[in-house]
Amino acid sequence: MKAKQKPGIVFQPQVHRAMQQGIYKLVSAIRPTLGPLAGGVAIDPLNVAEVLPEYLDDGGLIARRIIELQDRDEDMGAMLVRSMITRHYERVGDGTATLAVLFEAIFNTGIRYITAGGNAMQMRRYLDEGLLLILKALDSMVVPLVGPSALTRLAYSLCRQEDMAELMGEAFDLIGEYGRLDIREDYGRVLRREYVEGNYFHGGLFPRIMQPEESTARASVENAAIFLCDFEIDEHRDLFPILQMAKEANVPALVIIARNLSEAATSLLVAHNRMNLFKVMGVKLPGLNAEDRMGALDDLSVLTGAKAFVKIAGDSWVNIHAAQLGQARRVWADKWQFGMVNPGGDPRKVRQHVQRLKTTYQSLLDLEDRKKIQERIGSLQGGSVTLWIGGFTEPEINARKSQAQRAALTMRAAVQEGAVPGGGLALLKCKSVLETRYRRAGSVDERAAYGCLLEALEAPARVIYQNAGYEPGEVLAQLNGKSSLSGFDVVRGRVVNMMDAGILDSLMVLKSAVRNAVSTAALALTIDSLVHVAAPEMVGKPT
Amino acid sequence: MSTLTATQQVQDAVYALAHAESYVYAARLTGLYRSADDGQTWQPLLESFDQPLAVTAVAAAGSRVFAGVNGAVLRSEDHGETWQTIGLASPPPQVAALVLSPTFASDGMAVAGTVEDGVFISEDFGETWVAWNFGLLDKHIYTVAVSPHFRNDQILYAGTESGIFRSHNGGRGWREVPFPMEYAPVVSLVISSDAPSLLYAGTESAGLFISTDGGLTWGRCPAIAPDAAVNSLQIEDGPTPGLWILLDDRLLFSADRGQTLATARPLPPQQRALCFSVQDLAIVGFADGMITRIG
Repeated sequence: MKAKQKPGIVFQPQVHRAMQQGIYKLVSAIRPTLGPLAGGVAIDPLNVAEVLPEYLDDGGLIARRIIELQDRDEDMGAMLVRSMITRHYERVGDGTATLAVLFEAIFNTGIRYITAGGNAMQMRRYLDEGLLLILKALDSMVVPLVGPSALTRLAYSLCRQEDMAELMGEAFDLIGEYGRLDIREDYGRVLRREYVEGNYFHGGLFPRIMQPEESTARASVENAAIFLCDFEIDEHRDLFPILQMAKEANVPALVIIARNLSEAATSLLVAHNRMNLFKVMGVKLPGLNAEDRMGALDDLSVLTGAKAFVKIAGDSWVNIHAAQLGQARRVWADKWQFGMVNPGGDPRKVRQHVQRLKTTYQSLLDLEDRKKIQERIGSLQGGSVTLWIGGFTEPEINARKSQAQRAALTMRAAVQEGAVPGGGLALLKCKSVLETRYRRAGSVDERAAYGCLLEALEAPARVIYQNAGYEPGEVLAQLNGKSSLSGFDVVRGRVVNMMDAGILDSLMVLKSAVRNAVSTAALALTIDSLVHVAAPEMVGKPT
Repeated sequence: MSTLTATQQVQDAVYALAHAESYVYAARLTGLYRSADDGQTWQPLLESFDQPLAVTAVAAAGSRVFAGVNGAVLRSEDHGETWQTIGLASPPPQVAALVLSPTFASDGMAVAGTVEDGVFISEDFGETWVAWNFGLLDKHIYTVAVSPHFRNDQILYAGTESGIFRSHNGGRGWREVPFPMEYAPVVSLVISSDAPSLLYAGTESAGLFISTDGGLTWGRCPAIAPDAAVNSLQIEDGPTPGLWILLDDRLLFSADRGQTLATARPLPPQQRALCFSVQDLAIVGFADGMITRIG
């Protein structure tokens, strides 16, 4: 274990050799997962209660499971790659195998040149220049994805399941780049989808106040006025001003959105609903933490036109008036969520609010943060699709669900920024741009850097062919002289037009992989020595 | 059966006009009316209903007629002789616009825009209607335009309180069109029949806008006053193709995509609806219930 290791410094040539070995080991664990006919990786279970090894086919998760290599020097190389892959995985969610293979190819070729006396710093400069050329070339290949058939083709190239691809193509055609797609496990054996009308949020009915209809397990009210707050309403008398004002305003129904309602407050509303007056529904304010709740308050306020009563701002509703209530044509709620059909907020404000969220989304790097904002935009846009994933066994359902989630992530990215020919073809096509620079290189370092990149651009395609059982050299020879969109479909075993065959990659994912691979490899090549530090002594023993 | 003359004024308003085969239909506050003589005389059609119905939208193709009322679409298959009521949703939406696909006879596709509840689509000749509002951030619909090549491109536009939305999948999913929000509401929309990316948008009080790239960019039509209300737009495909623009007090014609305009006839103010009869007569409906024919 690292804790027992002693400090030390390692110099060349051991540094390059050990790092290369560590990188090789980590990338080799991920390499089999690249391509449509790829294999998986079995991981020894961490939990001793588990008997079966964990089966993974996702490069990002595999890298996460590799915590340490036994050899300290090799471990540093492996951890460099691991950190690059997990960072990419957290931000983009896909393309980790391509990233790993690209990185290794650049690093290995670069090491050969540096070992022969080349200058790593000069090479880094040219690698960065080459990176810009590759990104530009990829941009020039992009095709927008419009219409269900294009989206279905992309989905099929990602998940290789016709039924799933069809549903996902249809779903993304409807919801667009920011729309809401929920992927859930189902008890059935097949896939199915459900359209949910209106804007819906996680936060169900407060019990007892309103009984759901038996057939739908939902309660609903029409032309409802909406009271919105983030308070935990403990005292039943706190509700008096709201009920009084609602009665005076002659509202057809009232929906109270609050963080919590006490037993006493609930009892008051139960009693109220037994009277021949307007109906009251109570639903929970969405959000598990303060930040999420503030976001939900913001969204609901804009969407319904309600004033949000915020506890931290010292708001009080003692003198509440009707204009502070929001409106919705219909509100439904079940045990877990509530929804609004045609809420009555000012459409201009709603559009401006959504635009602000989109700008925030574009500025965020972390995948989880982006997901939260995307879900908010999806809720505001109205309408969502739920994809129910069934199967014969639980592991099958889990595997299909995770496949659908990965495919959805990549599809969203592809809908946002477009797609390029897949199967490694887009990177192969970037070679022509670099070859010109390679031939005209003014220095040995420049030539070496472009040589590295040229070799690396072939690497993903070679691995895809190899994983599918083909000889990469033979396949690449078949592609020589073919049109720019002709690539090798490893599933059908023949050269096809990749766009027509729907073999596509998300531009955003691919660009991010190339950017990470080149910049991290360029940095790794400049490492000349390794320093091992002693782990600090533990203070006290864990009990 | 009672009839009205073309210029006879009653205490109501004309919301929409439509024509099919040899009939012209007028959606009015007091009900739906039909004219078999190019708008000279009008016959009420909804007399079989117990109460008078305010009809706010009308569309017709062949013998099928659709009328939008509060909470429902009325459907007739015999030029308005008999009617069937098809409820839309609860709470009842108010229909503001009704349009049919150019190939309605074969695809049975109809679209209803509502004042607060977005868009309802029927794909079975109006038998059933389903709300499709994915991505429609503004559900206050004032007008809907169907692409002349709808069968191939499935494109629809909806003019709303805050701008314009576009659908490329027959109204199932909608995306915002970058129309400047400050000039909305958009109350009339029309797509050129010979250039599907040429789009005209009439606003409630900010003049006429033209887009030549399917709504990606917009330019103001210089010939229309920047504070004009453009109540209706019609594309004329006949011998003199062009664009008819119905303002509050004038009916204008442009043969060069809005660059220059000719006034067809000065009219009293408060014009609301426009359609053309079989004889290419322009029929104009007014906010005070009057209907005029322009030869």
